Amino acid sequence: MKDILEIENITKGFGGVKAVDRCTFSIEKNSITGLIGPNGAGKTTMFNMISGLIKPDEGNIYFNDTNITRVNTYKRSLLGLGRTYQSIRIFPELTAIENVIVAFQDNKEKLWHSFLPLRKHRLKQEKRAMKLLESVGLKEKSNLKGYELSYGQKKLIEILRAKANNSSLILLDEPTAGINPTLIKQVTTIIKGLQKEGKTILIVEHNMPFIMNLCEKIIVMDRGSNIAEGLPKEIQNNPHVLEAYLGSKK
Amino acid sequence: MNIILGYLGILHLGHPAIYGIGAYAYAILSINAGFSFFPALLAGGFFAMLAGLILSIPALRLKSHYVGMATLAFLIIVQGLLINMRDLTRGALGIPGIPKPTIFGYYFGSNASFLILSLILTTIICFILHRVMHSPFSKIVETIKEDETASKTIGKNTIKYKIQAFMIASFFAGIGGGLLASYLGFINPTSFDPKELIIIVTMVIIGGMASFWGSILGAALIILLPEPLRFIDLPADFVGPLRYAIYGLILILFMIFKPNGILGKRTNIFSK
Repeated sequence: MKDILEIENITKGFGGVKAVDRCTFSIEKNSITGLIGPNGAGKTTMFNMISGLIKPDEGNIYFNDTNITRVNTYKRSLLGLGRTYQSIRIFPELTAIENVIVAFQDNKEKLWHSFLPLRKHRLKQEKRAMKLLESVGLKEKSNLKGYELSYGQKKLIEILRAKANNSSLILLDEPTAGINPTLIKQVTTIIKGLQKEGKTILIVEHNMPFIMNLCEKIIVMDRGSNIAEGLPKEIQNNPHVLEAYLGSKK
Repeated sequence: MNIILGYLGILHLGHPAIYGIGAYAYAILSINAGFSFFPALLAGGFFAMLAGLILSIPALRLKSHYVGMATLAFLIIVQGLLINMRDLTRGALGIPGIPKPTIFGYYFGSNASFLILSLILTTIICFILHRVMHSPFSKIVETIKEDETASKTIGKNTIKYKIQAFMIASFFAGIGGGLLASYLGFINPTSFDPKELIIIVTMVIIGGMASFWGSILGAALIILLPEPLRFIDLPADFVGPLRYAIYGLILILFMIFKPNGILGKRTNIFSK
């Protein structure tokens, strides 16, 4: 299948440290791929470069064959690149439903739209957002403010926001960190559902059973480079991976 | 001011300069160029908006206190210009003889008629701002205040929104400046000095940031609160500073006990 994302020789240094060092990999359309590696391997830096929050020193990023290396974050999002964050970033003062609505790309949110009658449009958007909330069991919480939601609920809202944003590639940064096993199951179902809808998912995660069970392909990073990629089974027995996680045999 | 401080969460300290520009534009155009009331008022708004645009492009790239410093510097620069561009502004002498409005032949010379005119204009402006503040546009502006990075990740051109919000706020500040100039009949650079800032910030904060009615309530309270001082027999040169001391005290008390103001939302302008 065709690749949706290609990372080509990406390098990023912070001072003397190379957080990402000539990293190259690609993500197939409509796949679920895991990006794993020990702490400090450069996974989140890679995510930040893919979503445009930081610019790489060298190398290129292609999204649907378009070179987006120098494209702004918001434009990348409009092209179909969505993400969630390791430390949740929902809007705390907006309600759950507003958090979803603001992510729609067809809101009448230009300044001059303020003077149009928007009631019908608003009701339509609310209905759409409510459906999304219902799909993850958060219908009852729709009017709670972002800061009033529990940690797990915030995580769900953040994933929904990427979905509402109509992203074709969704980057999930540690979607299961700090949530209970029941919710992990729910997140798994949501991610599989997103795949069925034709979306591509790239996940950074430390929860190995979750990753091994969910992902079709795994990319392993260590000290800024990708040291292995393949099927979950291949990765589990790869000596380079074992060495990165456990250290080398003396 | 509430749009910028409350909705955008930006510490904008150049506000008196913006409405000062509106006031001067109104005064100069109506005296020197013979503009009638509405064109001069709109021109005041336009020039203030232009100043807002010029200020916002560099200032909005900064964060937190640095925006405050940059906008305060803008205020001081505008003060300097108003004092030194004597050919245009008559410098420290100020501009006297600013005409009161005449609309369709009716002259709004008395305080009562001017009050009615101001009330009508304020109502129209409030109506427009109310629409804007309750629109999807303002929701996006709010997301920028809450988390600009997240707002970018859902495809919002945050700089564009911030500049637009800044421009609307400046436009209406300019209109306000024009109204003030026509009411007072005389303006000079000290009418728009940093002291005015204390009053505006106090209004926004005690009313409640990011609250439409909060600003109106705040403005009413702040204007009315020192009025009883008139009845106390104090020397005139003591009353002025005392007013500012009261504003300062109110501001401090609110910041400690009710930082969100009377009707405001949770917000923290220093967290970004």
